[in-house]
Amino acid sequence: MIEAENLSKRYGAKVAVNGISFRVEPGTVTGFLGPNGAGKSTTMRMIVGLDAPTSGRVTVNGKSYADHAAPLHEVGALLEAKAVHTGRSARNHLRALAATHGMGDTRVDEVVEMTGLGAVASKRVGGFSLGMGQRLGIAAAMLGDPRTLILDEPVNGLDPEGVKWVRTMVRYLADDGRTVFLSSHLMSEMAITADHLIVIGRGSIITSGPVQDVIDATSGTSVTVRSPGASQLAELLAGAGVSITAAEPGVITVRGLDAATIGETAARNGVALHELTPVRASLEEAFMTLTAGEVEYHSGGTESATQDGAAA
Amino acid sequence: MSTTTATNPSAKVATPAPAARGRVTFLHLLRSEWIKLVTLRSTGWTLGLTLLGMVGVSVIFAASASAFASDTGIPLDGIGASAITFGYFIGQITVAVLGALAISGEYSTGMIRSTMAAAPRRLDVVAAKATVIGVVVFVTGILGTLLSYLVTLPLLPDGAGVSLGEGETWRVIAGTGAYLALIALLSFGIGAIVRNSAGAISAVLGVLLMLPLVFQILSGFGQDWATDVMTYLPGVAGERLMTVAGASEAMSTGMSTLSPTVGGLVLAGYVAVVLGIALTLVKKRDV
Repeated sequence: MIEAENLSKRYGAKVAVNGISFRVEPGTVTGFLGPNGAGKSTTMRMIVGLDAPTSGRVTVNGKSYADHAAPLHEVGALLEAKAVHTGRSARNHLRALAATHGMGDTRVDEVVEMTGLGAVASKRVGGFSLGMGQRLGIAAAMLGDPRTLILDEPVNGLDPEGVKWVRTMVRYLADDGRTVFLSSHLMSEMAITADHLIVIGRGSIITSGPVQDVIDATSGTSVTVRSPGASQLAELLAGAGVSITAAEPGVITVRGLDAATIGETAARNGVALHELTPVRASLEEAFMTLTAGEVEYHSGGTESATQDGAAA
Repeated sequence: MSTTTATNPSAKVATPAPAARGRVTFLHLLRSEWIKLVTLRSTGWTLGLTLLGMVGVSVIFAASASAFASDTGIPLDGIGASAITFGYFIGQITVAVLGALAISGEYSTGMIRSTMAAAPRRLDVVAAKATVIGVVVFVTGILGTLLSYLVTLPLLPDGAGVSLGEGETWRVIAGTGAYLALIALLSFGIGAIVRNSAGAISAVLGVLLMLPLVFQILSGFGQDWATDVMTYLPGVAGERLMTVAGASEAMSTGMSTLSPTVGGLVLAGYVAVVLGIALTLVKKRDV
């Protein structure tokens, strides 16, 4: 369980994290979603005590991270691709970290095996690919066999095989009952791996909740209707809270009514329907809507953040 | 997914029996820092060069002294102590590099984040690191001095060598180890402050090699105050740890008149101040 209360971090005049409060519940995969520069990494560094909050506090299993006598057994963190001395071998890196908690080579060998690093464990980390570096980071996070894992952009920059491996790993860890808190700027990644979402933009939490709720609450669902009497139907459906757009002749997109209501209305009025399709908004679309205007860096360089910017 | 690197996690893992759940203790941190030190190539290089430099300088020193003695007939009683300790001049450079790299290397590679996440009590981490560096360099310094003793034994003229039976000899040997350990810690502290290898090494070498030169020039032109200041420079004061009364006095670069104990304490004072600043900053700064 990770709990943040009014957590803020300021670097000089720049506010990186602005009074956020959230909870990562035990046994869930919680996604921390936001564009680059939104404050995800800063928040994660504060959780493990690397950055001191300017105000507010964050606890792990009820205590500040630094107050745990054996932090590696509470939380394992993959913070950056390479927080490793490049001149040391992977195994020796893990041995040094394990030693801080009195863990021996047996545990090191176990996490090496678990992450598939066996073949390269005695090689110096400086020559590792990004994917190998991520595996080593996850191996380090797993050293203490913690119930909670924090993974900052675990698939960033990985090749498809690496992405698949990380996804499998996250799923495996979650199925094993562990709490996983992972960040990404890729909405598609979250749709696949996360149960819960915390969406952050410019240091503030925009929304949070179960993945599907976040999507539904943001965009709602729309219904695509294809009918020779589309314009007549549009008039029949019009009303408060209903928005209708005509994509092309004979096709309308209806928001604010469900498919059953539309179908029944059409039947009562004798309008033939060729297609009646509820369309769920994708997380991608939800994310765009949520973070429009919350994007730190956007391509245009103008103040009004655009959806293009959010996609960057 | 059947390549060597693509282990299917779910197939292998089976949550290991929760390994004996240890805690972070100072002893564990010492062990961790020891592993870190001995698993870097730079450690072998710097310590190897320290020994090589110390012994090499001693050989040159002893051979030159011996030739001088036989050419001129001037007896060189008491030169033996200088012969075995003079290698500190090379050794201090290599151990300064070792001390700086021990901490700045972690900052430049990002390792420090792994370190501090595993052991969030930062002062304990820095203390453990400093202890390991200090002890390793101290032992290396003594080893280098003893090796120097062995190789210079046949080179020095009769009566010039030191006797291992005398307490004063051991004081000088331990003093050399202590001097090098303190220099390594000074460099380590500066490394923790500036978090940059090149910067830390330059600063330490500047203090050890350039500063005395500046004050020597000033005092050479009659600025007496410069002589007084020079006496209390870290390197000049610390060198007193290795000097014995007699011949070596003339060999000393400084004209320091501090006793070995006071000289050592002055250097230790500088180290304490630098480490104090380093600890304060390490605790306060974000990693």
